[in-house]
Amino acid sequence: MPELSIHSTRFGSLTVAEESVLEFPEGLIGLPHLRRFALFEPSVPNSPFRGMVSVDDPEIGLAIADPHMLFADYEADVSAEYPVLGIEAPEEAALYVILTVPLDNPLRTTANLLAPLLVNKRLRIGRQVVLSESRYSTRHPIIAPRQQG
Amino acid sequence: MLVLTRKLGQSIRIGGSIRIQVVEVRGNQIRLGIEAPAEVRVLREELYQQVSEENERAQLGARDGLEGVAGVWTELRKKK
Repeated sequence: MPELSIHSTRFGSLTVAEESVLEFPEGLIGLPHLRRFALFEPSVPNSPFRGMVSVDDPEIGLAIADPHMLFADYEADVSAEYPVLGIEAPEEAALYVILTVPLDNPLRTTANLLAPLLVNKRLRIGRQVVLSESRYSTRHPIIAPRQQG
Repeated sequence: MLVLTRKLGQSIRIGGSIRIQVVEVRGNQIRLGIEAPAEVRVLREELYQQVSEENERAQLGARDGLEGVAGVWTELRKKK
């Protein structure tokens, strides 16, 4: 299986399978030049979290997560976007949200539920979708304040 | 910036596949109808700015950020 090595001062050296690279043909919103990202897992096993480092600029990385694991009642109807990504069946779709992790306090991490990432798992392409008429914002705490201690 | 004057009901076209029509004018509010291919993202400017700023803010300074959040979340979940 072809592999891709990424060297970054911020994220260290990563070797990922080329097939784990995700392409966002339009980039992310406001970051149109970042199109290809390599996904990697944190050291904690079986968590809903993933890292995403830019193949084009390896100093840029984001933390993402499966929103349904963090917010059981999260509702995002993105099916209108399926044709854009060539998604032919719901099973081919995956949804992630981008996290903002404060450097000094990961308990105060927020999730951008307003603009999730929709991915075609078969073709490994994705798109950031802004939900329309949504009650969600770009900053939902993933850990309730009472649990933050 | 290109500036065009249009009356109610009139449109402009951008390229071959995008059409924007003035649908309603009421005081200082103007309603626009937009026809564009599905792959063209149409957003209110404020929303574009908001998401764009959050994407900027979300950039990780280091791998520790991901490790940190995955660690604390997993720990708290065990306690539940």
